[in-house]
Amino acid sequence: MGTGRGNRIESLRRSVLAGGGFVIFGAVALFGLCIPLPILLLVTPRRLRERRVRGLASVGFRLLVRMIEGCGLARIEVRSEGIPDLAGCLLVANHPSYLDAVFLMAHLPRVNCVMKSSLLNHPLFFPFTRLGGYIASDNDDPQKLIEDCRAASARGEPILIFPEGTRSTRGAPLRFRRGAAQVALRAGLRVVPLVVHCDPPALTHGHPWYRMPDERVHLVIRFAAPCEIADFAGGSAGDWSRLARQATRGLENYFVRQLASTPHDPLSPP
Amino acid sequence: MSRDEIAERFHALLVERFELDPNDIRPEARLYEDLDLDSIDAIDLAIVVRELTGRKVTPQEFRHVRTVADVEREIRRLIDAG
Repeated sequence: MGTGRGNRIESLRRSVLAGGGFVIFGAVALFGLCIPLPILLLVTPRRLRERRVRGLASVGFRLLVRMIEGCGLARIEVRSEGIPDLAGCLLVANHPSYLDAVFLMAHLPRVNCVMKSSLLNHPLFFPFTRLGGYIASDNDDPQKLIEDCRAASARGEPILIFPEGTRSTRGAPLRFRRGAAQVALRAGLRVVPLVVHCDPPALTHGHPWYRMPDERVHLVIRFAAPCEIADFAGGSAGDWSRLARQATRGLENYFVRQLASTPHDPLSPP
Repeated sequence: MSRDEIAERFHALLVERFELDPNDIRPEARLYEDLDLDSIDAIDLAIVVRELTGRKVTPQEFRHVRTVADVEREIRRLIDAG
């Protein structure tokens, strides 16, 4: 580590790069909206539309990842005993940074994602999020959420969900909401835990783009093997409402344990 | 069933299904803010009401229901109507 002043300059340099990255991302999204997307829509039959729109978004995210890694802002790594077959599974991930979602969307082009309505209604992104057929986490009808997930899984799509409902707050205990467990139980989905380490913290609550760290961010994503949501409730059976509460706590405990281990160890089962 | 029996059975189901502390289930307790129920729990709440009244209700009919007392009133109304 350099002197205090060196660290600040480095931090500032990285913040400028990060800010620039956001601007470029916005420009790429805007360009994507104006040219590739309309062309894609013109030549794509309706039944392939969602898949192709997601593919296009994925290309944009891959460009972004390449930029981020290329300019040394972050290094992103995936560790697992081979990536398991994710078709139809609920991918349950913690969410320490914007970077984890960017990377996952870049490298899992078929993936569906449960997202807040603010993204589905976002003034810039809504053509992609709506035409991509992503799933709303917070509309008025929870049955729809469950049905949407069941249907997506039946089509073989993996479904990414962040049980925290937002990015983590560094230093605060992990708090999972029950939606992920409820969906897994009621739509009958197998669960793949994705444990994301982000060190040092960046682009998370409390660390906005203008407060980047003074060193390269190392993001490690670990995949576990698919398992049953009931495994997180000690394998017990019973009422879904009770099971969802037990499984949510079980998931939290699992993630806390795995996040405490080093990113280089394989994930243990629940 | 008497008013008290209804309340007792209802409270027992709430404790069992939603892992609630019996002391928290007061008439003025708000389902969402105080008892930490959410919109998916509302589906199960409708099932609880169906078990108590024999009448099918949709989660939508519970839109205006806010407190434990509100639900108990709905249950009595459904039993009396049926």
